[in-house]
Amino acid sequence: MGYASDDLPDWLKDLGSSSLPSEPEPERRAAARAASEPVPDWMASPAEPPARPESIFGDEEEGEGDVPDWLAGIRQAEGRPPDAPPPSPIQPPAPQETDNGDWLESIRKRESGSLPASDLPADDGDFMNRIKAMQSEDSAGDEDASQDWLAGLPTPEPAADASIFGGESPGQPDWMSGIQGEEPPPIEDKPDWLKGVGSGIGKGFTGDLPAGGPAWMDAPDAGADDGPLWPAEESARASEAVSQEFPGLPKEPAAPSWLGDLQPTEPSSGGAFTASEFEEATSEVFKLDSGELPDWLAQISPEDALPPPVEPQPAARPSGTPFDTGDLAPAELPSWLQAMRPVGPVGLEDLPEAERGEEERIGPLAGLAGVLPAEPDIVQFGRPSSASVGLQLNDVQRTYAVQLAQMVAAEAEAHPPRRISLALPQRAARLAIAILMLLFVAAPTYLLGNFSSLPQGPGQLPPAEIQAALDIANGLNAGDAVLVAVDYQPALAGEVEAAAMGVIDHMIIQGARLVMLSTLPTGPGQIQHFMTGTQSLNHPDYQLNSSYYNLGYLSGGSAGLLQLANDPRAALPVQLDDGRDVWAEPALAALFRLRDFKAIVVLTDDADTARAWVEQVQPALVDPLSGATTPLLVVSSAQAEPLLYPYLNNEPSQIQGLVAGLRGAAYYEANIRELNARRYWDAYGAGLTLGVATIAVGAVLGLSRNLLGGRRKTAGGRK
Amino acid sequence: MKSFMKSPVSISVALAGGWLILLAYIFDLDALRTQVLGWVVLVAAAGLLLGVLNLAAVHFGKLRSGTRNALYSFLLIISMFITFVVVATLGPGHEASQWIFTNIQLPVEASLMAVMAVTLVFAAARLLSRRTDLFAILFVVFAVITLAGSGPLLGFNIPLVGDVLRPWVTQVLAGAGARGILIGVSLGTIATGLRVLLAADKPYGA
Amino acid sequence: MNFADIFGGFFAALFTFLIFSYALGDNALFRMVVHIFIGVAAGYAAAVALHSVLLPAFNSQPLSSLVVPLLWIGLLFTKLSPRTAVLGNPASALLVGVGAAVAVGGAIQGTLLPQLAGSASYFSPERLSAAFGDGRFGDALGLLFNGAVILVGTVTSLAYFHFGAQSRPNQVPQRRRIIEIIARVGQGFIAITLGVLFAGVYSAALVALIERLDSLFNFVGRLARLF
Repeated sequence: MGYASDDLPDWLKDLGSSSLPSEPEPERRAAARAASEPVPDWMASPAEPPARPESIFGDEEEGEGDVPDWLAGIRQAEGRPPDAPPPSPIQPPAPQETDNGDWLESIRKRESGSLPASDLPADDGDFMNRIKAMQSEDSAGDEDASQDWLAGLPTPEPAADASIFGGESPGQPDWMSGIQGEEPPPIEDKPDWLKGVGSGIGKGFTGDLPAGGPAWMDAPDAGADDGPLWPAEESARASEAVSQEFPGLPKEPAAPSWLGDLQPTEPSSGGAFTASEFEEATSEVFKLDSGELPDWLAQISPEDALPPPVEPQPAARPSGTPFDTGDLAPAELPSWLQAMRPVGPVGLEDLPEAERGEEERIGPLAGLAGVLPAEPDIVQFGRPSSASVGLQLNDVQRTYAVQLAQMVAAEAEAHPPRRISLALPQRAARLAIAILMLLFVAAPTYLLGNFSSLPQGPGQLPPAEIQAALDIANGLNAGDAVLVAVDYQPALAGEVEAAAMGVIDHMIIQGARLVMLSTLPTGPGQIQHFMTGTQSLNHPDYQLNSSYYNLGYLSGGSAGLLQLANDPRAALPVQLDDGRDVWAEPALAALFRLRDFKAIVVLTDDADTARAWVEQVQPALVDPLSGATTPLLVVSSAQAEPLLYPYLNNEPSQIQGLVAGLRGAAYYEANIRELNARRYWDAYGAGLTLGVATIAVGAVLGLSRNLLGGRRKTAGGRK
Repeated sequence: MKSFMKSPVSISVALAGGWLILLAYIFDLDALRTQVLGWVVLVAAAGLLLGVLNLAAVHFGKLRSGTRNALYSFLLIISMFITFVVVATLGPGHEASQWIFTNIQLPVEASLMAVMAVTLVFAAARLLSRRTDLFAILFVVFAVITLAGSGPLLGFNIPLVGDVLRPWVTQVLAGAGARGILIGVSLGTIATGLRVLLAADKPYGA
Repeated sequence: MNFADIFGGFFAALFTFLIFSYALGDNALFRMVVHIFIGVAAGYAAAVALHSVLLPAFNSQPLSSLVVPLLWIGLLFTKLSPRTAVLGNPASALLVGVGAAVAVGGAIQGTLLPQLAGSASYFSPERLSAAFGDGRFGDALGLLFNGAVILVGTVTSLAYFHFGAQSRPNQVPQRRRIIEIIARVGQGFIAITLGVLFAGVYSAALVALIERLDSLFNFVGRLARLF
């Protein structure tokens, strides 16, 4: 059972056809139109704008034989021939001084010869003319682009406009008034069944729709199979259900009297693909049997048919606007449009006014709020204004940006070496400190002799980290290999060598064989300097390449250390002067891994260097099977000491012993024998005394001056 | 992706080498890691050589330009050339090389460090004149405590300061801050390294 | 004491005095010595890299295994010319990529995880029960107290380096109030740490001064003994 298109008014037919996916393509429609019924006279008249909007809204233009029946009925009612131009599908703009007459009337007059064509208003109320005018102002490139875009514009539905924008507006032509009054009759004049339908639609509009739109939109693609849209049994059941729910609904709905005049004419046959054939083809989609309801009506649930609850109406537009909906009841929104309203958890009515968005002012959605705006964004044929890339900055951000730019610019500038100029009192003070320091340091060493006591008195125990270092050295036996990393710069050679002298001396006494390397380029020279300048004095028979080995420089920083931990022989492929491989020496032949050394000693002035050893090498010192750890002993400058304690005092400790600075060396030597730490100890004490005194005096003076100055300022401020 | 298309080789090399080394911390890839690290050790040494060549080129340019500081550049280039020739031909263990190191490099560096002692005391003494707040006071007070406990003042060790107070300050109070600094440094290192390993940062010219 | 020793000692003393002259102010002689030092240090480093690393590697390995490293080195040296510098990017990328991985791996396994564990280790039941079990209540309490100080200091110091801030319109972004308070405590710990570090730097510089004076006096003494 299908729907016969004959039983449906044209405007409903258009509604259905425009909403279905199987709708014929616009090009096809245009071809159908071009099949050419003759152009009516009014279209060929000189007053006709050259750029016709039919390229966009081709459907609205009908041939002479295709004048809509409802319009023909109107014409007949008005006693005019059915060849008048159809109404513009879009509401005309707000009436101007010269345009507040009935433009359709003027066309009629022109048709009847009472009005010259030149007297027609330039703006016929057709906004497409304005669009064309805008297009003509555009540049060529833009024109092409806009025309491409225009080709994809959807076709508006005149009937939809008529039903939606039924409210009379000040600029509304008379014929629209007629339609308003005749076609969709007032709700009171509707048949009973239509009253229910209208209220149902209205409820559907104001309430929430199920996601995905109405069920009729979910129907199988009618274009895919040419069968009826709705299975016959289903339709019958639906029809029966509707008739049960709506007793007033006639089973054989005869067209109401007001529709009687709007019956379509018989389709003409002629031409390759005439408009009538096209209409027939489209009507295949909507085969409506005379006794059936349209599917969009059949989908209305019984709840929808109930009178709508009282709901807050959207804020009315200011009266007097061209698209004022006036008394338009929400129930008159067709169901196909319901699918176009935004579906979400919150209905439009629930939103505050500000969030509903601006009402659409043009096109088929005109008058609706909360829809995607069509006119401002889409109907812009001119070159879009270039997008602004400027940031919106507040004052604080702008200040930061300026400061950042200044910093970057300052970095790029090449500054000549800056001479530090101090005020005369400051230069004098610095010179005085320098002289005092030279005197304080020099005098004890060469005038007073050893007058200061070492930090560890007789019978006292050394600190735990010193005791651990002593234990490591005491645990060495003759011939044990110890890896010594000489990783300090020449600048701090005095301190680190003084600190390391006791430890290395102790190990040599124990008979250890030292294998020395450095991760600094100055390392080879530093090793040589340390061993020849210090150890050779106390151990003259402790010779290079027999007692100890200088493996030289290990490049690569942390990567080199990781390579050393991974494979010492690959990291340091050193050859002796005679070309022999150093690793083939009897003392080193059994060394393949770092764990094969009895201890690792790192002499460093830098906490970062010590950290690199801890991070890269120390994990390789732990035997994964037994858990035994080759001890890592660090001899460091005092400046690295605070950053090494976290490794030392960790649980388990990552550094097993630490001798830091001259103080640590003094503790160490107090337990072995007195070497350079003892030699420097008095001068060191004198320098510390001068430093502590100077800093303390300067701090007290500065603090008191600032505090007094602050009080004076405060007092001055009070006065 | 854009930068990858610009320099796919560099980024691929960085990612491949980096992730290989990182995975070798977890999986047994010692042989491969040794090979790659061996390359890196050699390339790093060559990079050092390259840096010195660049320094020489810069100062040679200054010398040719005849600026006011051309004399300094001349001295730098001459000393660099002589040292390089001597040490590279004779080796760093040779007496001549050792002479250069012991009598030029080491005294100058150590003297620069020694001069800093005067500068440091002078700056610390003026600190509270320039800035008087809690943190400056804490800085000065604990610097003085640490110094006072580091050695004999006027020939005597101050009781409790060197034995008790200084170790507690350096190992507990300062140790806590140092531990925070170390963790912060490691976090920063990890973040920076991962940015390189994810090719978010490409400091190799890609 | 041969001529080289005397000559060398003289040079060392001269350079030491010229550097010390900086205490009187910046001067040309000081700058001359510094430039000589830079030249010597750079030449020494380059020579060591060549003599101790590159040449031994090339001597100890067959040529076939040197193809790849030589390729890397060759690419790196293209950076000497701005025209060919782009060819050296892969070699730089190798150094950077591997260096980053080594740093990340080391930081995780060598510092981050052990230090995080170590911050809590003061409260480990083993350590506390050992101290309490031996009846060393003072030690146990001291352990707890030190552990609490270290834990607080570590956490607050880390918080000091937390620079996440809430952005408010037309206002300077500020950290949260609680973070700000914690960071202030951490700032105190860091000030103490920097004070201790300053004392260490001064100690190191002081010993460097002592060593320089010691070497000068040694040289003068040895010179005096010659005559």
